Amino acid sequence: MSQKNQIQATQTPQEQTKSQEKTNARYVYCIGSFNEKKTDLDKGIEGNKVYLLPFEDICAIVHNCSAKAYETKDNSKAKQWVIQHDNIISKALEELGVIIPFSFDTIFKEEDQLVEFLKLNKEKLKEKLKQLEGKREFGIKIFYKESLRERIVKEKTKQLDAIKKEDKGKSYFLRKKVEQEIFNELQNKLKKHFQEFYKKISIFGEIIAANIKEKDMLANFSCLVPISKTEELGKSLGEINKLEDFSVRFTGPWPPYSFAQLQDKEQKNAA
Amino acid sequence: MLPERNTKVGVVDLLDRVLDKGIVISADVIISFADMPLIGLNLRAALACIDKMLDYGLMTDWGEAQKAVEKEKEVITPIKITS
Repeated sequence: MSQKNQIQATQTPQEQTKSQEKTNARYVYCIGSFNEKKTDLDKGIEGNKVYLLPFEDICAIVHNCSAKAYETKDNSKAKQWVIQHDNIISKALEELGVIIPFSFDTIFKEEDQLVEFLKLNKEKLKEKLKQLEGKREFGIKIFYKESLRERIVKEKTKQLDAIKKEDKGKSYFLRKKVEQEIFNELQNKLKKHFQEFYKKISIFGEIIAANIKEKDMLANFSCLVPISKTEELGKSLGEINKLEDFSVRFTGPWPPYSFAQLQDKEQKNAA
Repeated sequence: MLPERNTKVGVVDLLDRVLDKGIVISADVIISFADMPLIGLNLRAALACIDKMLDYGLMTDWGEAQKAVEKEKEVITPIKITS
């Protein structure tokens, strides 16, 4: 019996299937500038060995896997995968200085196809790496407090009481009118503050404003900031956070997930 | 003011970024999810719950979020990693 057959004889049918699974596919974490001396990366998703796959002077940070997406019904496992995905990207960012992160679960069917992707997009990727160099992403969420609404309501109620004394028959219509005025004034105040905060934050870097996802949220920004300006940004957000009517949720530093999309020149000109 | 990273708030923000952002490639060389991506469905639902919990200060741990996910996951639109 050959040595190979001996090994197979000791494996269970499940283990045999697993060992026979092809690992031609490549799970991609991110793209960076190739540096053969910087290959000390942690284990990736499910303990897979992560390495740099070079194409000329750029590289993809990958692990080998079968051509099958990572999916699970187990939330804690899914969360662990996502954190492992980010760990590798953050580690690569530390080692290589600048990277372009990929979305979770991006798997190329064959290594050749990934190399082809690198070849076709080399110039765009290099331009993006240059643009992201020395910068980090931060999440900035600004919320308004009930006190802002309460103050407007209080002021308007005073007006309403004064009018009611003068003409009791019109109270229903006056109440409706005042309610609309309260709504409009709150919207105007929020708009004014949004513009003011946007201006205050935009001096530190590029901003992407995302959809409002939570109750009483005024702004949901991702901000790409030079590392040297991080402290100043924190001070500026601290000032907003001290305001009576607003609070700030400040997270990061993150790899530049929100700023990773590759734009064609035509798209960029149109933007 | 210092940014948060390894806190509950930080983890929510991280999941949002890793699942929704980064380079997303639409190409036939990529493994694509023609069917419902379970990981996307569950994580998106979990995220929605955590956001609510953070709003009301009820977030205690990930397990709490998981319980709530079971109730809400049918109504959450799954994300697609590739299109």
